[in-house]
Parts: sequence; structure tokens; C-alpha cells
Amino acid sequence: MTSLVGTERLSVAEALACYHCGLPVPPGSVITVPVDDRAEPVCCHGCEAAYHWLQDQGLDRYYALRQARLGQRAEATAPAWSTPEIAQRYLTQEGEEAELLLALGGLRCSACAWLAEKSLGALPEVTDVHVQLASERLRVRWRGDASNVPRLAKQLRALGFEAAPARSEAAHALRREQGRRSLARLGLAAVVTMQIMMLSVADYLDLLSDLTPAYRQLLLWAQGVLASLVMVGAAGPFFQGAWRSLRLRHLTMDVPVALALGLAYGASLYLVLAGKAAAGAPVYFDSLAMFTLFLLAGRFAEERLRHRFAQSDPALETLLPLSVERLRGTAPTDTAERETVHPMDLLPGDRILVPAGATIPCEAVVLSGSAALRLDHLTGEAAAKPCAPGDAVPAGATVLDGMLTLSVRKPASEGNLAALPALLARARESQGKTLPLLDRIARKFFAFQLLIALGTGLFWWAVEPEQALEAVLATLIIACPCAVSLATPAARTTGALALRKQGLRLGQGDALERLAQVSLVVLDKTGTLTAPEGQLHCLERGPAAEDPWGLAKGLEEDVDHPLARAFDQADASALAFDERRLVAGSGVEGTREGHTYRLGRPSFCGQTGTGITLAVADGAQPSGWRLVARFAWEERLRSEVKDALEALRAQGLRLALLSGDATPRVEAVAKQLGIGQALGDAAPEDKLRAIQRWTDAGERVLYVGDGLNDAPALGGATVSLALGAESAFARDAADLVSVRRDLRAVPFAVGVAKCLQRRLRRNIFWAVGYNVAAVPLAVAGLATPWLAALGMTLSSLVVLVQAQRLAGDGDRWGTALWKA
Amino acid sequence: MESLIVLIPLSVVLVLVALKAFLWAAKSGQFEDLDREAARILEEDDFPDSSSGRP
Repeated sequence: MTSLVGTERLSVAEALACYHCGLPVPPGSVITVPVDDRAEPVCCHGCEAAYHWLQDQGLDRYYALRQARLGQRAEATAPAWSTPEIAQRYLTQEGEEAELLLALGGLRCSACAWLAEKSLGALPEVTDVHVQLASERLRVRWRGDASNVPRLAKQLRALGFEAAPARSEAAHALRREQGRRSLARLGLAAVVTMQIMMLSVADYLDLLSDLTPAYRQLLLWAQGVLASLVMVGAAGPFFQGAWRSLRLRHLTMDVPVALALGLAYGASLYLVLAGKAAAGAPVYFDSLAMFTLFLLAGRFAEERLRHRFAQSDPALETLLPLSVERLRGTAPTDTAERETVHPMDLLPGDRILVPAGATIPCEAVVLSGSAALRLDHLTGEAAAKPCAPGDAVPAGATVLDGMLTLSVRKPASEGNLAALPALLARARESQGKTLPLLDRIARKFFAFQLLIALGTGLFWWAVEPEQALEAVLATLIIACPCAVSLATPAARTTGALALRKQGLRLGQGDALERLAQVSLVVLDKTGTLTAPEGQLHCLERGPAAEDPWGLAKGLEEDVDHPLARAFDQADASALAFDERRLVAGSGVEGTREGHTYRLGRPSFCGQTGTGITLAVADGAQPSGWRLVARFAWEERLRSEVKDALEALRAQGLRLALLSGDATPRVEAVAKQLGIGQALGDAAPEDKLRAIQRWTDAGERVLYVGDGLNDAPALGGATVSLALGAESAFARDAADLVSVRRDLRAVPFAVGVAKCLQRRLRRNIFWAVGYNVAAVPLAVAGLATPWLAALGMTLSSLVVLVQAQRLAGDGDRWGTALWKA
Repeated sequence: MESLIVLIPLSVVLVLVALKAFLWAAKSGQFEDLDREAARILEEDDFPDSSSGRP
């Protein structure tokens, strides 16, 4: 804690770093520990003890690992996005002070948050720094401007935090504001309801029978004031919802809720003001407050859960890399001056440099260099696509190896990537939504309730007009849809929790209800059914007798490349090479028994054609290459796919395949899995159209995909599930997200959704049953306010217990699917 | 019994005061990050002026 301050006080010359903790050793200290043959200084006896303890436990490897980390720490560089030009886009400048909001990765606990705060706070220019753990955000204010950002970013990186400007902040702010308001409403309703309850329970228990009407009136007034608070401060959303649904002529649960609340409040207030309540007429302030509280609590829990997993609206911003290297002037790539700019600042004609592992920010043409591009998330093509000078490359492609110099053709705000958000927005508008079960029931329920109330009113009007108002009120309150309205949020909340146990997140609140009605499951192929890393197979063998697998395995041994890992899994023993070297962007070369072998691109091996080529030449001066073998990537279906599809069929669902990959390959996979319908060569728009065709034909479509190119289809299907959380864009477009790339998530989600549907039905049955039983009492004028309050609480409790059992359903499905 | 005339309105006023405090807390985001803020109070702060105050 004092460490950071202490470090600055010591001059560099005196600072000998402690071997254990890295802090400066105080001058004059003589404590050392034996490391190998040397004596290393430590700063205190505590560190000395810690060192010996680690040695005794055999954990001394800690120091080797730690040393590597310390080394890293020393050479931490500022991330590319922190250059003032780029940082300028994300910070807010207020006079002399600037503020920046960062999304912080690597934040695990309160101690991390503390570290991040203190380390930035130690910089003299920083005036305020605040970490919010729940949202993994760091807000920092400092005196200065964008030119200070590199130092701040470097400081964070040195500690091992990956920070990047928080993008799409508006949606976050909106949700935060919503969350605060919901909490305020819930708290208000809770506090006030307890007060009202206190006042009314005394009445129920007949403790007030000897009070004079004047005192009674006083108590009623107090209740009335408190109930007004609830109505004004907490029940707002129900009235807004009812108003909205009436205006749209689309009846939802909010209408009967608002009606019951409004009438109960209005009538009770009237009875108090008219002095009838003091004379013994029943008032329902406690019921309406409790009603509001229960419903708010249910909605609050649901909203909390949804916000926790909330995704932002998919925006172009999040598709682009944060920074890109631009070449200045016209000098050749090697000598040209480089600058780091934001992708949005690129103009047609600019030359940019895209290294391996980076994403191409905009449509461009290759000027020099060659590389393999990963397009699977963009088009669904499984095979990496090679590109050479003169080729046009799409935005969003990832460079697998090599380094490309590109000439920008279209700004980042236009072109193929920029079209996706618009397409997704269109898809969402056309989404084949179904009306939630409860809203359908709400109509009938509502009509039933109104008819009964009306009938009661007419009956009492004819028999005993004095009693009419009370009886109508009692009917409405008793028949109030508290339990019914609570059924959905309660079931959704437990359903979402059950899904979370298996790594599934719910993006849209009503996704599970829609999922339960699905009839057709449409699957993407690449990434959804197949593993991202394929397996290799031998296409062709040359006349030579050597074992191509052994040679390839020996050549690629210990090389860090997807290809090398694939060869490593081959069933052959690696042959030893005398000498090997990597040729970047081309392949590997090695010598063995007087021959030179090359493995890599065809051109590198003196061959034509495609595939990964292995060739041999005599002697050390390679020429006259002879083909040994040609390998190709073969897609591999993930191991769980068959089980998952079997489970889906058992759930009575039909399957279809829809992919951007070449039709023959798609059909081959479909055949292998016994899927009847298969569509290949589908661009994102085609996928969306296919989904819409199915929807128009009356199917309720669940779309399962994982890539960028799936986003419109994910948005347009009745309900959608994104597999794997790599593509933020696809993730944000889907209703459900499985964090794991495991197809069993689909039958699991469907299973839970069906259970939810069943529980929800049963719940509604209970709630309606209670109403049917209780309403005759109210109609007969026998219901009293305490009976209404008790009935409402009990029926709500039954509903909650039912919903709770969903957790068990989720566990059962989980063990059934993941037992192996 | 007469005390009720004062006590009942007083209880309502007290509820209002408590509510006001709660609403302020909720609206200013006091309940948003319960983990981090709960730990903050336990941290030793090196306020610039705190060293002079200590013996």
C-alpha cells in the first residue's frame, strides 16, 4: 500500500529490487536469500520467509514465471489505440480536464480494481479514477488532453490489464438509468407497503373496534396518503404500459393490472373522502400497495438479470479494429513512414498495413504481400482464402499469416461491413414474433373479469344499490391478476438462471417463450457444426516412397501454427530433420539425409495447384522439386453434434442446414447427419430470405449460427441462438447466446423452454383457478379486504414456487445432455 | 389516545424522510457496484494530509 509512494521516494541509484516482491530494498539492508549459487537481496524478513516457504513447498518455479512477467512489465508499450489522434475520439474534454471511459479486461476482484485505481491515481496529472467492478469500467479524469492517454494506457497494460475505450456507451447509460429507476420504485413500494400494512393489520385483527370514527378517519387518511405515494411514485410503469397497449390496440397484461389498481385506488379514496370508510366500508389500500410491490419485485428481478447479460445494439464501431497502420507518402512499404490512425479516418487511396492476426478495416485492394484470409465468420466458407497483389479484399476478413499492404477502396463507413447493421435492423423489423402466451390469455382473462364485475354490479344495483360499489370493488380486487402477472417474470427469471448454469445467456426477455414454440431448427454449418480447427487429409501422393505424414510432422514439430498443430495430431511418428527453418508466409524448409524438403504453399515448393504441398529436392541447392504429397483441410464435425441433433429430433423438431459455404460441401455434411433440407452458397441476405420463406410457410424458426454473416438471419428468425461468443456482432444480434461452442446448448435451451412453457401453463391454471374459486365469494359480497390480501399473497406464493421448480428442470436437462 | 393525532402523521412524515434518503441513494447510483464499494472502506488511503495528523 505504501509501496507506490515508497518507490517514488527512493532514488534510482539506491533501488535494488527485492528478489521476492520486486520492491526496492531499503538502503543498508543485508537480508539475502540463496538462489542457485548467488545471494539475492530481499527487502524484508517477510519476503525472506515467503521465499523459503515457496522453496519448501517446491513452488520455486514461481520465480521463473514471475521473472518473465517482470520482464514483460518493463517493456510494456502503450497500446495502438492510445495514440492521441485515436484517443481523441473517445475522450470528453471539459476545459483543462479530460475524461475517458475504458472497458477493462482482466479485472477479477476488488483487489484488481484497487490496483488499477491506485496505479493510475499515482500519476500526478490524474485527478480522479474510479473502477466499477460489476460493469468492468474504469473512468479516469486528468488535467491535460489526449496527449496524456498513452501514459495512462501504458500504466494499465504494465499491470496486466487490457484496456480499450468503452464503445456503444449510450446503451449502457440508458440501461443504468433504467436500473436505477426500477430500484427506486421497488424500494418506495416496499417501504410504503409495510407502513400501510401496519395500519391496516390493526384493523383486520379488530384492535380498533373501540376507536371513535374520528380516529378511524385519521388512520384511513394516513393509509390514503401512503397509497397515493405508491400510485404516483411506483405504479407508473403499469399505467404507461396499459396506455401504450390500448393505443396500439394490442392487449397486454398491463391493462387489467392498471384497471384493478386504478379502480381500487379511486374507489378507496372516494370511500375515505365520503366518510363511508370510517363507518365500516372496506378499503383496499393495502391490497393495491402489496399488488404493486409483488409485481415490481418480479419485474425487477427479470430486468436485473437481463441487464446483467445485456448486450449493446450491434454497431459498426464494434466490428472495426481500434487502430490501423497507415503509410505516409508514396515511398515503398519498407521505408515509408507509418502512423497509427482510427479506421474511420481512412480515405479511399490510403495505403494501410495489415499484419497477421489483424482485421482488415475496410474494402481494399492488395498492393503487395500475400496472405491467407479467414473469411468463415464473414461468408461461411470454411477454407482460408489466399490473396495476392491485385486482389480485392473485403472488410472484416482476418489475416492469418503474412503481411499485407492494402490500398483502401471504400471508407469504413461504406462497403460490405457497414451494410450489416442496416441489414440486421431490417431483419429485426420483420422478425416472426409470436405473441407471448400470457398476452393471449390476458385477453380472455380480462374479458372474463370485466363481465363478472359488470354482472355483480348490476345484480347488487337491483337488489341493494348501497352495496353495489363495494361488491364490484371486491370482485375486481379478488380477481386481480396479481398471480397471473407475476407468473411470467418469475418463470423467466428462474429460466434464465437455469440456462446460465450451462453457459447460456438470455438476450431478449421473451426468447424462451418463443423458443418453446419452435418447429424448425435451421443450422449454420461452418463453426456451428464443424470445429474451427479442421483435420488434414492427404489428397495426392507423389511417386516417392517416403511417409508423407512422418515427414510433415517432423518438419512442423514445435512450430506454432494451426497447420503444425493439425499435423501434430496425425497418426504417424515424426521423422527427424537435421536442420529446419521457417519461411514466413510460405512454409517450412528442412534437410534430411541429403535431401531438402519443403512444406507449404504450392509455389514455395515449385509446384502449381492448390493445397498444402510437401516436395523434395536433392542436395542443399534446391531445384527440381518433386511432389511428395498434397494435403488439404477437411472439415471435422464436432463430436457432440450427432448427440445434439438426435436430442433435437427427439424433441419433435425438424432440421435444416443453411450455409454460406459451397453447396456440394453443405450437402455432404447434411447427408452425413441425415438432415433433409440443405442450402448452400447463401450470402447473409440469402440466409435472411430463406428464413423469411420458412416463416411465411408457417414455420417457427430457430436459427443457430455463430458468424458475422449469420447476424441478419439471427435477427430475422422467430428466435435465435448464437454459438460461441467470439463474434460480438452475432452475439448482439441473437436472442440467446451460448458461451460454449457446444451444440448441445440448443436441445438444452429448447428443453428448458418447453419446461418453462409447461410450468407457465400450470401457473396460469392455478392463478385462474384461484380466481374462479374466490370470485363467487366476492360476488356474494362476502369477501373482506383481509381475505383479498391473504388470497393474493397465497396465490402469488404458489406461482413463485412453481417457477422455482424450473431450476430442477434445467438440472435434469443438463445432466441428460452432458452426462457422457 | 390523543397522542395518535400527532403520532400517526409523524410516522408518515418519517417514512417520507426515509424514502427521500433511499431515493437519493438509488438515483445517485449507490447500489450499482456493491462489490467494489464495499471493499473501498477497508482500504488504507494515503491521503496527502493524513501523515501529518498521525503521531
